[in-house]
Amino acid sequence: MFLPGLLYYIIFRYVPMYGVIIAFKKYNIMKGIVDSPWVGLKYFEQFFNDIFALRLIRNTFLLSVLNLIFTFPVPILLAILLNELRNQKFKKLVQTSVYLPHFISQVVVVGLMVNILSPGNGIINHIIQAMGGNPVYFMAEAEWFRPLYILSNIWKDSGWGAIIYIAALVGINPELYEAAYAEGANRFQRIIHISLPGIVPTLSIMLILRMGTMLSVGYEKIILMYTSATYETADVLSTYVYRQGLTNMNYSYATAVDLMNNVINMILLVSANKFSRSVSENSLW
Amino acid sequence: MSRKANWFDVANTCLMVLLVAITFLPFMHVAAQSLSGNGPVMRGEVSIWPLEWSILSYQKVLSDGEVLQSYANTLLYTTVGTAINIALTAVTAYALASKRMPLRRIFTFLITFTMMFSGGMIPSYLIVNRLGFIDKIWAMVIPGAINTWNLLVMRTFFMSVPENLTEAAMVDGAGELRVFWQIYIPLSMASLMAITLFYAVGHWNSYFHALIYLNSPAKYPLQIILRKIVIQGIVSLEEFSGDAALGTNVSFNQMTQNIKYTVIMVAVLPILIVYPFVQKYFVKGVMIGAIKG
Repeated sequence: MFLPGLLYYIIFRYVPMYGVIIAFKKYNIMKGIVDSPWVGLKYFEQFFNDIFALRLIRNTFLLSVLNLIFTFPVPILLAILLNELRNQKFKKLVQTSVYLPHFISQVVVVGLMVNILSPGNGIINHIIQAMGGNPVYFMAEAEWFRPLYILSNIWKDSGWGAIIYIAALVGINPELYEAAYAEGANRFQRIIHISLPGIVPTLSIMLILRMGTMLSVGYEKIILMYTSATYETADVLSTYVYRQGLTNMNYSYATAVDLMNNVINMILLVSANKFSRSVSENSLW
Repeated sequence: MSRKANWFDVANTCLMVLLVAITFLPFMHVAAQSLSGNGPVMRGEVSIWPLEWSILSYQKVLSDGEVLQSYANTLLYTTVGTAINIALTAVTAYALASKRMPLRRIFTFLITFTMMFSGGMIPSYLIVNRLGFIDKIWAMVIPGAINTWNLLVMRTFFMSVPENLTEAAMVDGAGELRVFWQIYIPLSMASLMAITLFYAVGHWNSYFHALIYLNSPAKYPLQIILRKIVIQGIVSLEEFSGDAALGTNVSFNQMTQNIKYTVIMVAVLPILIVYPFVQKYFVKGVMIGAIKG
């Protein structure tokens, strides 16, 4: 019974891992993986001499770090505030509502942005003009890319991201709150000394997981959002891999860049885990 | 603990109402635009309520060959894909959960490892290419057949099924398949439902696989067409020029904006409609995964 699943993992997960060696070979589609000639680190050198290398690395880091800083706390705050709501029906209603954007496709989300921010007839520019300003072509301006990317991430996933923290908060012993209240602790003190510590284990695990995927910064969404006008801030390692590999068919080169991306991810993941293990008892492994 | 509502509660409640509004406003705006007449849309006057009601753009979109074809494609990919997903995931989860499975720990580790490291975009593409799946339905349903997170959640669920049921059944002569089908499946309906829904939504919303693995426009799913019309702004001429039969001579350019909003609505409506009913299954599924995983 295990056979189909086993085959799946071998063919679609492990063989591609082996396929990564084409980063060290001059891959020729006719010859296949095994017969293509070895070129060692040639493509890695090529990358570091690439005029875009610095921009790509900078964008990848900036986008991931900024994204993490701004999107990570929102679900936590939301969960804490939701937990403070007294009317359970209202709380349920709010939860159901804010989970919704998670199920909307990225294409729709970006489509919504394109339309609302449209310079010609988008409502945002309409308001700007009504206030006497000039229309801004948001989606084509490099400086707007990061804020838009991050804000739409917050809109889409904060609600859903809060679930896991809500679950953690519900698991906190209510007697702790009672005792604190009896001792005169006000709302904020109760939140800081009971709610927050109760979420810290969950928080650590989630943070580690997030760090592990940091550098693969949602490239699917970036591909939908960017244009050549915004490459200056929007182009990241993964989107470059996509263009080089699948559009320009420089398979080996693209794989080399992708491999570096993945390795850095792994290093971040392992470091974050080690760090968490040393300062608290929470870690993935 | 009972205490009187204070300013914090009021502020919190207001904030929540605001958040709910922010969640729904974009949809209301797009819905309003899609139901409005051309003039107001082009002038950017529509906010959250339709002006000059018109269903013209819906008539156009829902009779457009390209849109309809992609809808059919998405329905096909979603049903076939989800069926394969659930079958494969359930069976594999069962194997990993079963104490009789040899080398169980090692396999579980190897599978979990794939969540953290993968071959990457290019090698995956090359494998799919080698298998001859490019531009076929198989490229849409097989490469993503098992989502490791879902697999682990299901495995956790299966591991909570009492062993003595299985033992009793096997003493009576039942084989693995029988045990799986008649004991594990009925007992795990909640988790199966949740995971099925996750997979289904994933298929409905997927676009990247189609982008890299499909070449024929006739095979494109809804999201690709959506991207084309709404984001890339490519609206095909023949479908959307003025139509005397519909009693209007609205020009192609004027219709384009309306069309974009309507296409978004058409893509999103199924999810919006189904969501309230199935929402609790999703939440349950995540809770299970989160708490035990």
